[in-house]
Amino acid sequence: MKTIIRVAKTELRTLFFSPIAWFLIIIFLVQCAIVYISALDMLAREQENSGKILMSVTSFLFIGRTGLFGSVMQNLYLYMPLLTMGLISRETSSGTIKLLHSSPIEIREIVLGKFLSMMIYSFLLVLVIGGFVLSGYFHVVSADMGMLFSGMLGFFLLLCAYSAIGIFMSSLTNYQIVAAICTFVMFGVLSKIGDLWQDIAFVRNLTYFLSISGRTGSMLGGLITSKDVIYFAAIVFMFLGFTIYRMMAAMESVPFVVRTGRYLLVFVCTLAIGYISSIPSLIGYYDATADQSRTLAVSAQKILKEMDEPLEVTAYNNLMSGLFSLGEPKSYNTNIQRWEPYLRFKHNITLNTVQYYDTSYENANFARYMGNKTLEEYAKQIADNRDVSFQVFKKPEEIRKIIDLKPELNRYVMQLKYKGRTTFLRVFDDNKRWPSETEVSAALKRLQGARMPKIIFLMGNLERDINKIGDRDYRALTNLKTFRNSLINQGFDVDTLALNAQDIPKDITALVLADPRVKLSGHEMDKLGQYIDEGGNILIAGEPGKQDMLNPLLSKLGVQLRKGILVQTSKELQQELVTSYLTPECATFFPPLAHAHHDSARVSMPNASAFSYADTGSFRIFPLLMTDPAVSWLKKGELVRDSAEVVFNAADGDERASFPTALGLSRKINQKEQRIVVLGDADFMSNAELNRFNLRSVNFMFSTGLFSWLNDGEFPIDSSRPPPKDINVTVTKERVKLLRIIYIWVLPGLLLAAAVIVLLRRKRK
Amino acid sequence: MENNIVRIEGLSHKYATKWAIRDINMVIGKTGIVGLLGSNGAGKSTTMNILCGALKQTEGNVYINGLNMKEDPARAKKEIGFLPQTPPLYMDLTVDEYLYYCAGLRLIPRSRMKSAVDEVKEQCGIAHFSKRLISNLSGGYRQRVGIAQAIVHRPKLVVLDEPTNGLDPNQIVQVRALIKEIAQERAVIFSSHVLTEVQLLCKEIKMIENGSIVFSDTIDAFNNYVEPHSLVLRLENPPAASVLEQIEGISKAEFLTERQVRLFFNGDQEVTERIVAASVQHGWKLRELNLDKSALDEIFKQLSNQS
Repeated sequence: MKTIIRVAKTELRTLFFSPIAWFLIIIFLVQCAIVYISALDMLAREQENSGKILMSVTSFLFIGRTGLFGSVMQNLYLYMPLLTMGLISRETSSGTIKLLHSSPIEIREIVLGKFLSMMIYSFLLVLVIGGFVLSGYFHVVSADMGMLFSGMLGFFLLLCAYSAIGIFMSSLTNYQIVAAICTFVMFGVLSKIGDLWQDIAFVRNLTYFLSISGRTGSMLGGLITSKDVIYFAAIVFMFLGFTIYRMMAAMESVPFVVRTGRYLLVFVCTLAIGYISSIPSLIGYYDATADQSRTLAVSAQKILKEMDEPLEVTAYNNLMSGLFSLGEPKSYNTNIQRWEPYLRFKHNITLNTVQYYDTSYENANFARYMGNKTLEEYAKQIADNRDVSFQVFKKPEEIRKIIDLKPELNRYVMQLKYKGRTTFLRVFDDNKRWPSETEVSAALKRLQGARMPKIIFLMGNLERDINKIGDRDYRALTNLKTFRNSLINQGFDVDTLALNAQDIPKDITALVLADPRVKLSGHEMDKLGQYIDEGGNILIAGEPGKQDMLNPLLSKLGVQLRKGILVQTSKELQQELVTSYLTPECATFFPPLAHAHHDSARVSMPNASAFSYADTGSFRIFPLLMTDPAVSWLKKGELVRDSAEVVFNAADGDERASFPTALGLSRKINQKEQRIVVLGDADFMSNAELNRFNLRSVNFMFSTGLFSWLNDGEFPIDSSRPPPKDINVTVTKERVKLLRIIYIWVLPGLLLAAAVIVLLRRKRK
Repeated sequence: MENNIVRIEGLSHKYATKWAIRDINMVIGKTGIVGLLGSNGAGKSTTMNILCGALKQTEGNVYINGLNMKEDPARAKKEIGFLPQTPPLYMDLTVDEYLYYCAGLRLIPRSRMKSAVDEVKEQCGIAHFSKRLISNLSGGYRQRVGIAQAIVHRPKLVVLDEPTNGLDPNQIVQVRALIKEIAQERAVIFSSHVLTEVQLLCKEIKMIENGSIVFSDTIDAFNNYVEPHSLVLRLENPPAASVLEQIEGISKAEFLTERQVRLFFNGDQEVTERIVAASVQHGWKLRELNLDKSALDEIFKQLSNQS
């Protein structure tokens, strides 16, 4: 150990008595300072402008692409080769290597000494970063220090790995510049190797393990895993091992086989370490973030903990589907990575993919593309085009024998199997594509045989239809499989019921009566009345002009739809589009609604009527949505729907006030809480309104929130995280100007002066 | 404990496919200077590198003070100080820093380090340059620092690979003196391709040619090999060659220039006196008389053929 320290000391001495070490630290400091100060400046200005910052300041300052770690990491690879290039090549080219070899010390000690010196230098760079982390502690209100320390660890480990690679490259050649270039190339190889041969079953695990890209990513995000830490240790081990054998080979003449054998031995050991460290049950995790944002939500953890037997996930991947790439052989490791948060809590999840080809029902033009080829010919053509072997794909008749995927449109879908029960877990047509914790948790819950909330939509009186995709209907909300927020993907079961012909089942969660076109018959009214009297939950949505259809039923609840239509003046939107605000009580229905309420988000309602209510019956009645009296009023007279601006006319009976457009009703009955929602608009959850793009509305969240309330918050399973606490900076933009001078000019300047003094004094000796 | 500091048995080394040295055997005593003589590329450096552990032999054994270099390199290396052909200096360090580093590498205990370094600086005459950067030293002093590192741990064996190479005549003289001093208490192996240097310094000589030892004996024995066999005369008034050949002991006379002549003789040292006497007697006006020793290459050739 003494020798190792001695070698390291001399190495550091050589480094710091040459300009390069100083130069790099100063550049590094300036680079960090520029990134930190400009991010801090942006935040300070944002805070002064709008009074609040709507994101985690710690993440923005340090982690994101524009953050300190994010941007420094991008060119970190430029620093290390300049330091490591001479470590051994300088000794060999100047002959000092003979001094080391003829001394009673081991090659191992020489290499470790060199590595130790680089570790110490890396630690200095970490200290520079640490200075900014410390600044962050003072400049950010409740900064997420755990995440930052985890990031610093990741940064340090990456530097160590780079150093080991650099040392090895330096041992390969007498020319420092060649060593530096080789080191760059090796960094490049290691960062790209993870994409190599991902479609070859055995090799892909090796190349994926060796890949350095993304390793620090999770640590920067605050998640430290034993797998990543061991990876860096293994890389260091491998390259230092290579270096030792390389230096041994340089001073002896052993057969080629022996030399190659040694390298192979080190390589195999590294892979073995990698393999063992990647076994799910052996991986240790530490989430350093303040809000445990890198860990599954507690609800999902609980579900996984209750599952004691193995979970089998079989993905069915159709060659002909546009989503083929999700399950193609080379995305094998990416998919495992997607499951990693779950594997962390449940080790016995097996992942399989079945490749097949069959008609794609999601692609409207499929038949046109296929032309007059047979399905097989077309499939062969596509397989060839995608460079995959056609042999791996099951034929349509084969796959149909195994499973009927037509209802899933023959597109990528995962079938989860647990204790003999199965359910589908889908991917969705949105930016995120992959199911989130909420959808996965719902699917797992279903597998556990839990009673899933059942929502029955009433039919028979020309109500809104859950199976139609027209603008005014409810397919998107309820059972559009490709749509993430559809109730069926959130853990609900949906069904329809004709009141005149069927009885209301006992085990349902809630009924929905949405905008009946005709009046309910007495028989139907009786059934509904009985259902409500017995404590059943129901959602009733009406429309202006059809108040009479629902008012008889609503009167039992102490609520009435008022005559007239709500209008809202707007320079850009139609006058009958009312945007209602969430009430504080509504914000408690569903955690994401709390964020929405905090952000003053709105629910868009085209053609809405207002409610009047008397809170005198058995129900506690409270508004969920209210209109803004400044721009909106209840128009009693006829509304002319054209380009003319709508005018408030008191003579017609127009009323200006803040009107409720949605009400919640609750009461205790039969030892349970009965919950009812009434709405003056049935469009707010229609297919068209849920896809509104010309206004930022939270209709989906609101409607999901309503169903969440109706099933007592059990579904959708909440996987949202609490809002970040670190949303303020303590500095003003003026203060940042001062900091800019200190960080970018004064500190590096002082360091430069110190360097000049040290180097000049040295040179004069 | 054996009486020899170095014992080399059947040493061979191969670079890639070519043998650099082949079956070298030698024994070196505990004190005195042993010269390793050989032309460039003969295998001197390879032998020395192996001897010092900077290279691992392909075959054979090296024993340093009875310790096998292969089996116990750490202990064996403690007994060795090595100055390779290019001195292993860290130019960015000061003399002190460098020597302390070397002392550390040779595992000198911390308590003894200062005295060891001070002593060696004194001995090598570099004490006044302690704080000087090695890069700022002249070639001669750099060589002294190189020698200092080789003896800082008071090794029983010091190996110097062409230590006077590249120095000016003054520096060469100084370095030679230093080597002599060092050798008083330990064995020094010293390589050179300059014959006179070896003759001046060594008591024993080993000659390597084409990777094999071609001569190994005392310097006196060696001198017998390199005895002069010809004389070069400069005469203001030279006679004919046939006249010169009549002098007793001269076998042949050969004019190099008009006034310079080479006389071949049989090794009889008294022939010089006879030439001088004849010159005085016949008025040849002798201006110069040089013994023309065999050229090194000649000797190598000669020895290689004999062995």
